[in-house]
Amino acid sequence: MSDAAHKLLAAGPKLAERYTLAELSIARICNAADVTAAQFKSAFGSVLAYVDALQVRFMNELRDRIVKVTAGSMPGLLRVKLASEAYLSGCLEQRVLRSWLIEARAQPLISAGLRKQNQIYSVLVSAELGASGWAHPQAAARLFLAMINEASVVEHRAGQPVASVRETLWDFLDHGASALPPDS
Amino acid sequence: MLVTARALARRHSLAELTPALICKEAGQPAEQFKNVWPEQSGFERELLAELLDEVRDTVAKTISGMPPGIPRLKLAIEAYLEANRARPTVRALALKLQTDPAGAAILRSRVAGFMLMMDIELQALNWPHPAAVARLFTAATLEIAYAEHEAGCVMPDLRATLFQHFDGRRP
Repeated sequence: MSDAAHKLLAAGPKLAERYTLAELSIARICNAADVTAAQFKSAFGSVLAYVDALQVRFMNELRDRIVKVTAGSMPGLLRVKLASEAYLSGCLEQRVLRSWLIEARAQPLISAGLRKQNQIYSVLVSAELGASGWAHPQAAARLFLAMINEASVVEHRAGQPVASVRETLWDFLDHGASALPPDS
Repeated sequence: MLVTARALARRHSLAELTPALICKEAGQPAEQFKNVWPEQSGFERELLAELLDEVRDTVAKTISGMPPGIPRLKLAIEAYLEANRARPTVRALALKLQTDPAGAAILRSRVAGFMLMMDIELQALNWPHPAAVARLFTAATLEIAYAEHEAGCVMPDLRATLFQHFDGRRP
């Protein structure tokens, strides 16, 4: 990635504090990052592609955070909870930028990136739940991801962790494993 | 024409639901559709709202007369999923219009109605955090509706996983 691309991506959170997604323009992005329009076009081509790159970077940072938090922990529900906490906290920390990303989900390019991320997490969570003895780990992972995405939106609007929402998530995880017949 | 389109939505895909077919079935001249809905999106929004109301009414009818409780909650969810399956156009329209501000507003208001129904049901059962549970499990129910729409069939594992939570869990 070029220096200009790095500078442009680094300017994202600051831009998100100043402008709504609809107000975003190549001129404003270039001004904030101190690069030329030609450099922007060479790096990203369009505002939408720039927002997509910001989403990719945000998702990579979340993934790195999850890997760091769960390093050394055993497979199972505790690891899923640690990963989920890391995910939700990471979303809250980037709340301003995330306002853009949530709004941008209406764009097929952005929603496709999100779907791809969900598919990857779904495989990982499914493996964890399978190891914990869930009857239908793939189905449970799909539902859990839908719930955690919703939880992140609730917390985004609240601007802070929402205890009742997190307890509901953990209850879903705890109950699914504990509801198995004893001989399974 | 809207009444005809609602009926056709049970037998035809969104792509097949053309102005020509709707006008023909409604016994209207072909140009009438454009007179009523100059923009296709206007028709699609109205149809989405009608179909979602139909789904809501079907759920209400299915559970009417039942006492509050987990069986009623599960039946409501099942009726919601079946009503969606019986109208493939509703999920196709929802997917298409989620990027349209007016369409998204229609979706949000109907989802809020389903969430409120679940919240009231859970409150009656003294379930902990009824609002949070209703919100997250409405998201899970919608996920199942979309998954079944994509697959074109019932997804028993998804339904079983959702229902298992309500079956075993007691406040």
